[in-house]
Amino acid sequence: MHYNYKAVTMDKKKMAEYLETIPKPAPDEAGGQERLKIFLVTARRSSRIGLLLIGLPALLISLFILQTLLHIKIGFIRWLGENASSLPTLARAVLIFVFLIGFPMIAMILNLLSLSHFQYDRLRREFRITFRIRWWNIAIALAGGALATFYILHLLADTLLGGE
Amino acid sequence: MPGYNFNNEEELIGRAKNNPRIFGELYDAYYPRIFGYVFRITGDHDLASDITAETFLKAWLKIGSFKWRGISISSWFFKIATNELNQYFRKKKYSPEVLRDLSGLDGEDPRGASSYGNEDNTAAWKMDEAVEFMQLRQKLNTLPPKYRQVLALRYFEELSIAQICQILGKKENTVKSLLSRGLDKLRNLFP
Repeated sequence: MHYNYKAVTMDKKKMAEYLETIPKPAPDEAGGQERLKIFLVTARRSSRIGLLLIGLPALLISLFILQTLLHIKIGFIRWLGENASSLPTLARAVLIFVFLIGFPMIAMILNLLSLSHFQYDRLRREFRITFRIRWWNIAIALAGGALATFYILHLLADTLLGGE
Repeated sequence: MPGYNFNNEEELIGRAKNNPRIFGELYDAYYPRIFGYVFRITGDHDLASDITAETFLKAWLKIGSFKWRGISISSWFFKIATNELNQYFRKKKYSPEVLRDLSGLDGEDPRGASSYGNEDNTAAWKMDEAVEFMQLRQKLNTLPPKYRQVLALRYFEELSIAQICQILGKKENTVKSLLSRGLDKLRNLFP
């Protein structure tokens, strides 16, 4: 039995009894528990991982731009080109796909998942999709999508125009 | 949690320091309690998931430095969770909800309490009880953190004074005093 706080004048003891006896929610947490066990990340962690996954491809493209547009010779790019050309074509293609498209897409997906929550409210018969606004995660997701799109278009252009 | 041997916790913690899978057993055993604690204070399922996740992630990273002192590791998890909650309330630029917002809750649409009712919640949480608890929670969250923490740990989580002392790192007399003053302050928020 718990007290209706409106009906009873509270003294400290009754306040304590009220707190002890008021029914307390026991939320279902199973989905969240399993998700964490798999990923062991929070939204903040996924943004840091996302930053790493897009940071490396973004750095690479920046160096290429510096070399191509500004004619600044960068030893790392030359080294990369020399070593990449010695790899079999298939291996080179897989590496490029994973590094320049796969990583940014993973970053985008991780951060989008961390921002979204899906819930079915049986009482109101509603399916709710909510998006949290965390600008850092949104920025990482957009950057990942942009990088992946850039490289996909670049590959398409190379293929269609018969580039190397 | 079925299969979890609370009497063997010291050995489990020792093994968990070098084995993430063993840490998973601690995680499975205590996740529901910590999640429930955070949820009952915040009232937000997503926020509770994030804070609980952060709690266990920090515990996972620091398990190597955890020293067994004959006290259940649950106190340590509660301590981390409490610090995360404090951080959340600070970052929100925590300010107490004004009383006029609280007084408007008497006629509030109980649909706001629907986050307490989940289709998988076999506790059959009733809507009117959800509203009452939500009103209590909002009043509790207007109190300074030192009172909110002790009241929540004592009455929501039903922890003993000794356990609360371990979690908050305070002496027994201090905790008792905070509980007494906290009850006074909370009582004054009721009409």
